[in-house]
Amino acid sequence: MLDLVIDIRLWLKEDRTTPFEERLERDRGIGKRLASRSDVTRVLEWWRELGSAPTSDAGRRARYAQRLAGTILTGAGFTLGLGAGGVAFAYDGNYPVNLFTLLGVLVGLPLLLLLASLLLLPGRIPGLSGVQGVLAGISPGRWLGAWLDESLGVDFFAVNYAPHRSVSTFSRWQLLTFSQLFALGFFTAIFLLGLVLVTFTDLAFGWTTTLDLNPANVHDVFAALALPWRDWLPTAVPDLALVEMSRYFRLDDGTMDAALIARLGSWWPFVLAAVAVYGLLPRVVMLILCRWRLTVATRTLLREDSEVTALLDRLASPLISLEGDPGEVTETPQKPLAAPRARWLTDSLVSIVWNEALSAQAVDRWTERALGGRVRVKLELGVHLSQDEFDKVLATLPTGTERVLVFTKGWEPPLFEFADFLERVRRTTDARCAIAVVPVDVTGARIVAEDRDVWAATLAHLSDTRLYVVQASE
Amino acid sequence: MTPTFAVVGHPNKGKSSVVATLAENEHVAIAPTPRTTRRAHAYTFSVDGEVQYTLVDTPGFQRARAVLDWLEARTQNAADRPKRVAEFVTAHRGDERFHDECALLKPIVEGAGILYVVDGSKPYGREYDVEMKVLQWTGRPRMALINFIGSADYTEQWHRALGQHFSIVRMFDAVRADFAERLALLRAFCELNEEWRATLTHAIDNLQQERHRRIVRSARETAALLSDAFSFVERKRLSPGTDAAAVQAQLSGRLQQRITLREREARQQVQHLYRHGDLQRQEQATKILDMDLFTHEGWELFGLSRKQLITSSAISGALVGGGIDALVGGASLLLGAALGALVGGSVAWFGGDELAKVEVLGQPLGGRVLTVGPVTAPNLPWVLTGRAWVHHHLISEHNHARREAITLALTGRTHLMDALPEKRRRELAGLFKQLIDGDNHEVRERLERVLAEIFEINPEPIS
Repeated sequence: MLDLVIDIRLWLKEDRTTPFEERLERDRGIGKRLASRSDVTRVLEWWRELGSAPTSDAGRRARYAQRLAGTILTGAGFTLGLGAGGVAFAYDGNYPVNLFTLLGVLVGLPLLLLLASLLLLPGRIPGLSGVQGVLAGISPGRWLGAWLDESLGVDFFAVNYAPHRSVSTFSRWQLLTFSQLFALGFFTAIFLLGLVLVTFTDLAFGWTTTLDLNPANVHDVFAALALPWRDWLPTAVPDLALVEMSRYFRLDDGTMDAALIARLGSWWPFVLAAVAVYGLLPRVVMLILCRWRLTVATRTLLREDSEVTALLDRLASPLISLEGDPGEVTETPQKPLAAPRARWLTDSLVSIVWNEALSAQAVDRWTERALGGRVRVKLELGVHLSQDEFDKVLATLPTGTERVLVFTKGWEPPLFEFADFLERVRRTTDARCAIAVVPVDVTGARIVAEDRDVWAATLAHLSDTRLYVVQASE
Repeated sequence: MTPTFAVVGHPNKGKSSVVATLAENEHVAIAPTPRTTRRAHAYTFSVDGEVQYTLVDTPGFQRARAVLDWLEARTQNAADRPKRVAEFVTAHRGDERFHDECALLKPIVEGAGILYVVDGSKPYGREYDVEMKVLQWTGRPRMALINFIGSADYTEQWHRALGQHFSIVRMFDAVRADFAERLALLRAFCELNEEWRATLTHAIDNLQQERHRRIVRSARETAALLSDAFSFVERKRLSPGTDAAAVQAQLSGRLQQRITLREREARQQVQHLYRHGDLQRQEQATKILDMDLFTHEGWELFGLSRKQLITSSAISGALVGGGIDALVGGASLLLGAALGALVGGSVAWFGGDELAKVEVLGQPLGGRVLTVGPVTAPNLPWVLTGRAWVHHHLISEHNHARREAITLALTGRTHLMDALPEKRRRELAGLFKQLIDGDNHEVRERLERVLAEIFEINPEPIS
C-alpha cells in the first residue's frame, strides 16, 4: 500500500502542470465509471484505470525499505534476545537461576518499554511531549527510520518535524510497528532459547532476597502472575511448597538432595509461560494493532493529501465544458492608400455623404475650412435608400466629374456595401476621376489614426489608383 | 433542438466579445479591425457531455441592403418571409459576394435564436434598420444587446430604434460584465423561447454550481499553499568549522524562494480554474500582485496591522488556553485563557520580525544539522491570504473578452486583511495557529471553508 500511496502522491504532484481542463476531463471520465464509494478505494481504482506508470521508483523503494527494515529489526531483536536470554538463563550449577532477576530482565523491563510504547500511541499529549520525544528518540525504530528517510530521500519514517498530521501519524505507527517487530524478535528468541535450554540442559530456578519476605507473600505474587494461564495450564502455577523450597541463600553450602534439585527445575513452565504471556503475547497483540493502525494511517496519508482531495473532487464533479472552434487568423492589412497630392478646388468637386455621416451644413463647414469654398453639388446616399431611390440620386452625379469627396462614418468599419457603392461611383464617373474618402467622427472631426488606417487598408483592397483616404482636417 | 443563439450584427460591434465572455474562451478572435471573424464559430456549453446551449459567433453584415432587396423582390406576403430567407441562404451558398450573410443567416434558418449586438457608445444610424429588417424576416426569437466599446452613451437612441424590432433589449458590457451580469443575460435568453426555458435554467444552475466549485477549488489551492508554506524546512548538515550564520542566511533565502515559487504555482492553478491560463504574462505587468512576497511594502499592504496581529494572536492563544480551562472544568479560573492570550500576543509582538524557526539539531546517526523553518512569522499567513484574495478576485471577475492587461488600484490602502469582518479574522487567526502547530486534514478543510467565504467578498477598492 505504501508504494501506491507514494506513487500516487508523486504522480499527482507532477500532474499539476497538466492544464486543469484536461485533468478534469480525464478524471471525470474515469470517475463516472467507478463504482466504489470509499474515497481511498476510488482513488486506487482511478489509479488502476489510469494505468499510468509511476513518475519514479520511490514507491517501490519505500516498500522494499519498509520490508527490509522490518526484517532487520526482527533479526536484531532476535539476536539481542538470544544474548539477553543467554545471560538471564545462565546457570553455572552453583546457584539456581534467580527468578527475580530473570523475570525482571525478561518480563519487567520489556513491560516498562511496552508501557513507553503505549505512551506514544495517542500522539502528542500536552505536558508529556518532552517524555514522548525522549522515548521516540531511544526507539530503535526511530534510528532505523532516520536512516531510511535519509537513504530514500523522504520524510515518512522518522520525521524531525511533521507538519502534516497524517504524515506524523503514519510515522508514529510505522515507528511503533518497527519497535514491535524488534520486541517480537527479542521475545521469540528468549522463548525458544528457554525451550532449548530446558530440553537440553538441567536448569534450576530459585529466588533470593535480602528483604525479610514471607514465602507466602512471594507465592501470592507468583500466583497472581500465573493468573492468566492458571485454568488451562495448572502445571505452570507454582505452589507454596515450591516457593518455600526454592528460596536459597548464597552463604548456604548448596548441598541439596537430588529430588529437591529436580523440583527446582519444575519452575520452567511458569518461566516460559511468563515470557510468553507478559513478553511475547503483548507484542503480538501490539504488532497486530500497530499493523492495523499503520494500514489505516497509510490510507489516511493518501486520503488527506491535498492533491488527492482535489482528485476526488474532479472524479465527482460534473464536467462543465465550454468548447468552441479555434480562433481565426486576422488578415494582415494592406498598405494604406496615399492622400491626394494636389489641393482640390471646390468648384470642380462633388460631395457625397454616405449613410448620413454629416449634415449638408457640416459638409459646407468642412469644405470651407479645408478647401476654402463650398461644394457645388452635394449628394446623399446610403443603405437606407431603396435600390430605385439610390439609382435616382446617383444619376444626378454630373457627367465629367473629376473629383468626388465621400464623407462617411469613420467610427463604422468599411463594409463591402460601401465598396460596392464606390464601384458604382467609379462606373458612373470617368476612370480619371479622383475619389477621396473622408471618414469623420460623430462630431464631424477627424477620426483617430487607428480607424483611419483601417479605412485606408480596407479600401486598398479595391486596387483603385485614384481612390484616396484623407483625414477630416486635411 | 438544444437552445442555440446566433450572435449577429454589424461588424466590429463586439459580437466576438459577447461570445468570448459567455463561452469563457480567451481564444475567441477579437480585434478592432473588421472581418476578424470570417466564418461562424460554434461554442457549446455542455455538462458531462450533454450540450445545454450553443453560441454561434458570426461574421458581421456586409451587404444587408442587397440581401433585403433580394428578399423583397421575391416576397409577396409576410408569411413567406422566413422561407425566403432560407432560400436566400440556399441560393447563395458558395457565393463569395454573400459569404458573410450566408454564414450569419445559416444558423438562424436552422433554428437558432438571435442575439443582435450593437455598440451603445456610437450613435444609431438608419443603415442598421436594414439589418434589423433582415433579421425580423427570419421570424426567429431575437434579443438585442447594447454593448459598450467606447465611453460615450447613445443608449436612449438605441433603445428607441431597437425596441421596434426586438421584444427584448438589454445592456451588456461584454468586456466588463461580471459573473452576475452574465447569468442575468442567460436568464433573459429564457424569455426568447419558452421551449428553451427548462434547459437554460438547468444550464444556469450548473453554471452557478460550477462557479461555487471554482471558488472552493481556489480556496483549496490557497489552503494548500498556506499548509505547504508552513511545512517547508530547509536543512543543511554542518561540517566542522562551517560558518553557521552564513548557512542560516543561505537557508533563509532558499526558504523564501521556495514559498515564493509555491505561491506563483498556486496562482497559476487558480488562473487555470477560471480558464485564464494565458494571463501569466499580463500578470507580470500588475505591480501590486507582482510585488515580492517578502517586501515590507507588500506586508504593509496585504497583511494585518501590528495592532490587529497582536489582537488576533491573543485571541487564538486565549482559545487554546480556554481549551485547557475547559479540560479542568474551570478549576483554573480561566488562567489558561489569560495565559494563552498573553503568550499569543507576546509572540506576535516580539516575534513579528522573525521569519522562521532556526535550530541546530543533533542527529540520531551523528553530526549536526542546521534547520531553518518552518515559518513562524505571524503575519505571513495573513499576507499570503491577502494576496491570494486579491488575485482570486481579479481572476474570477476578469472577463474573457478583455484583452488588455489587468489593472489593480489599491490606492492608499494598507493592511488589507484588517478590513475582513472580525468573525472571519478570528476564525482565520485560530486556524493559522493550528496550521502552524501542525497541519491536519480537518484544519485544512475548515480553512478552505473560511477562505471560500472570504473569496466571495470583494476586496474593495479594486478596479
